[in-house]
Amino acid sequence: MVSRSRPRSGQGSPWDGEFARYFGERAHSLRATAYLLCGDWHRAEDLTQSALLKLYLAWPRLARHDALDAYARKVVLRTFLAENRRSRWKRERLTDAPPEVAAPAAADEPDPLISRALSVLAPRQRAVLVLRYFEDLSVEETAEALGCSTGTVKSQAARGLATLRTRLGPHLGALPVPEGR
Amino acid sequence: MDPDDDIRALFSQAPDGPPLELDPDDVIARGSVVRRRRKRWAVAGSSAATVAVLVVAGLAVGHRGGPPPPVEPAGPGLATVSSSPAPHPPNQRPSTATPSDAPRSPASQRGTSAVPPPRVSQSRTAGPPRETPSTTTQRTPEPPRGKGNPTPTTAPG
Repeated sequence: MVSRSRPRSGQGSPWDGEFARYFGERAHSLRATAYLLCGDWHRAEDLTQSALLKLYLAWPRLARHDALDAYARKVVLRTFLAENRRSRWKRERLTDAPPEVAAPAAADEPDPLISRALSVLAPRQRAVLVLRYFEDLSVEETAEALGCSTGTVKSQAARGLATLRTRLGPHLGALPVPEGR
Repeated sequence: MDPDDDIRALFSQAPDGPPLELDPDDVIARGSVVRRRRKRWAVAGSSAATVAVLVVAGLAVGHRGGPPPPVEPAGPGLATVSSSPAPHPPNQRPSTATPSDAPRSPASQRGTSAVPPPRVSQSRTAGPPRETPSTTTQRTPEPPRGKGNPTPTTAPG
């Protein structure tokens, strides 16, 4: 997104500073989650911006600011799922030559394995796997974020994992096992 | 060893991506615009609702508190129909009410069956219509009403 002229005028809200601090801390991680969900950096940035805008609008109503991460993650997730549900002609189309030229994409990561692997999954299965294995949420937390039952989370995760294993095959076993996660 | 470690290893390969292009000031500016617009709509909506309630209340009070409408006297209605023929026919048609009308009753039946509307209008306007002869022939059956000659009254029906 190209930075535009700032239309800020007048007095800001009292929570602007607090929101800006949260933005600086969490925007990267939200964008990474969005990227794993949609597989495109530009769309991930749009998702992140929409989610953060909704978070800003809801900020004075949020009683528990310690649960902001979960709330922001849920907003990203639901924005992504809602965009996928939207009919094709209403959705923004991503083209090769966008009218606004953004910063060049990372040329050293042409098509990462994770992106190719997740692209074959259905959006809801992708969301379950991202929440379970990237965000390290429990089954209950994933069900709460998605607004479904734990049984649905388990079945979607099992189907998604089976598809990934079938698709990746030997590549999956060759990956280095992470230590800290 | 967790059987899902390979999947966790896959997700740990997620790239960092290009530098973030989002700016908190942009988001805050957009959010302020949205909040201002929502506030304006809320004010406009509540004002419209207040005006609507006041108008409805004013209409309701205006209808209830006004002076009652004047009571109209009852119109003449059917009373003129029954009363007007009674005084006049004996004065103006002394001979037509005689039993000599009895043979003409079939002709009068045909005439009345052909044009029933004039008879009604003539009976309502009690006095003036005496000038047309047709009305006199139609009125002739009325005096013997109740005296055992029902044919003129039953014919139009």
